[in-house]
Amino acid sequence: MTEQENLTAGAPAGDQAPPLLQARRLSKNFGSKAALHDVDIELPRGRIVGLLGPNGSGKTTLLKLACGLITPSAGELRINGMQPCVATKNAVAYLPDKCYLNDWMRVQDLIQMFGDFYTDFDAARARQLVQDLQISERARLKTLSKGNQEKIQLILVMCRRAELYLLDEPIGGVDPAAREYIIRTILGNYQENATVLLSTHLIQDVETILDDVIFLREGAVYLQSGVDTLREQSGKSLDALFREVFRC
Amino acid sequence: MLGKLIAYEFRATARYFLPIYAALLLVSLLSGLLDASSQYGMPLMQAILVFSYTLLALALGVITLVVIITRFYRNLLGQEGYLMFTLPVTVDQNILAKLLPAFVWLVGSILLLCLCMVLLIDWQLFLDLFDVSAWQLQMGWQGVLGAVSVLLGLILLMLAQILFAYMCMAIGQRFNVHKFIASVAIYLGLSLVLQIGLILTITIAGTVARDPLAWLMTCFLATSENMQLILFCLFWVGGAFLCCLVPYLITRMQLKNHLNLA
Repeated sequence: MTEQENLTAGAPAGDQAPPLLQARRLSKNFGSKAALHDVDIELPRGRIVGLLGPNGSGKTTLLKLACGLITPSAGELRINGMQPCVATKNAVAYLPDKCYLNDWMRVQDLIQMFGDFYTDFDAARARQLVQDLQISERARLKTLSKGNQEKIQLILVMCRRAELYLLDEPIGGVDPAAREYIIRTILGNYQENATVLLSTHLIQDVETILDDVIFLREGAVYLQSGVDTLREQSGKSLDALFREVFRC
Repeated sequence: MLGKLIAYEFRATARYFLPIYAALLLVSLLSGLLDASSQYGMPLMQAILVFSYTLLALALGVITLVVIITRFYRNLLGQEGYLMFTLPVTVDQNILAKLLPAFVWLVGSILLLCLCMVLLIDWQLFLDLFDVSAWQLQMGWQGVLGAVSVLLGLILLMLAQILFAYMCMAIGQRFNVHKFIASVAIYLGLSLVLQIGLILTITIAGTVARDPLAWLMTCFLATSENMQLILFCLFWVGGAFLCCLVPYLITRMQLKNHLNLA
């Protein structure tokens, strides 16, 4: 397949704008274990969506499928109507739950690298955010603390003007002060018309910023709803509802 | 995008190769100069330099091998793969951006070892290389064709070796656990199967025809010497190209359709 073909792989015909992210009967097996099964999801634009579920519920698997880092066992996942390809990678900013940067590189090299590959990357904004953290741009990533490494990674991802932000456990494993910084950075930098899909099991910290939620349980969608509607219907906070649904 | 990927790959790998290249050149130059300037020689110093050269040459061999493998494995199939496979680049670009720098370093290391050997053994031989008047080109087109084909085939076979390792790692990454061990096992297993296959082919060819090459030429009606030369070059280069193409396509298919980053 040529690069041009790859850019538009699986693009739909017609003028109607497709959903930003759409999964149909999406399943992923690892050996005999089903990590996701028959997942149907549709994400519109301009929403902050919480992908909530306990450990092992399939959150990371779903995000990795959306990035094309793993391939579905069955069903399909489309972004802007296309299966994961070069064009969807241009539209998606992904923050994994682990450090994916070359740790021997300096912060300034990483900013340069993102600028080289992503046309929507705002390097000036990234430099400003790094400066705000009082981190030297000349510092090598491996010399920074784990918390600062995660912040640099978040800055690089959020300084893209992407259509869809996929953030995998961005506040997991950091102290409450760092959580606040991360949430502030997410809210202050994402594009208004973009959608943020944020996976976490720390509901209390993100409850106030979410528009919609998707509950994943044992690889299947348990519920998908607007947060306000859910609160009205259940008469409970999202955190209380989560604890009830996922009680061990 | 391919150019940018290659540039970043060279930056990532140069920090391993350049210091050892510099050290090797320095030791060889010192040794050569010492040998050329001293009429009676300085045996102890010479011995130390030759020993250093041997150690450095061994280290270069190990580093070349390790870097070629680990750059593909860690940067594409390890955690860094999360970045490489979310960049807006194609799978082909990701593979080529690993393959071409790996090939350049491999050839660079071989050429540098040869150059250092010349400097170490006979300084004059190195100077003679620049004496253009001593060059004698007495080859006809047959000689040129033969030399170019042999060189091209050797280049392709070197690429094939790298691609074969890539292919085994690309298949090994499909395992959910012990991916690297699986990759090594696939490499050893496939190497064994290919060697047995090659030995069997040669044995069978030797049984069917007394002179298999001549028999092959007759099959293609290559009766004249020139035709036989052309056919031989085609077989050699074509075979080497196939040795590259097959593992490349398998690697591409694995990374495109069966990527399984843990």
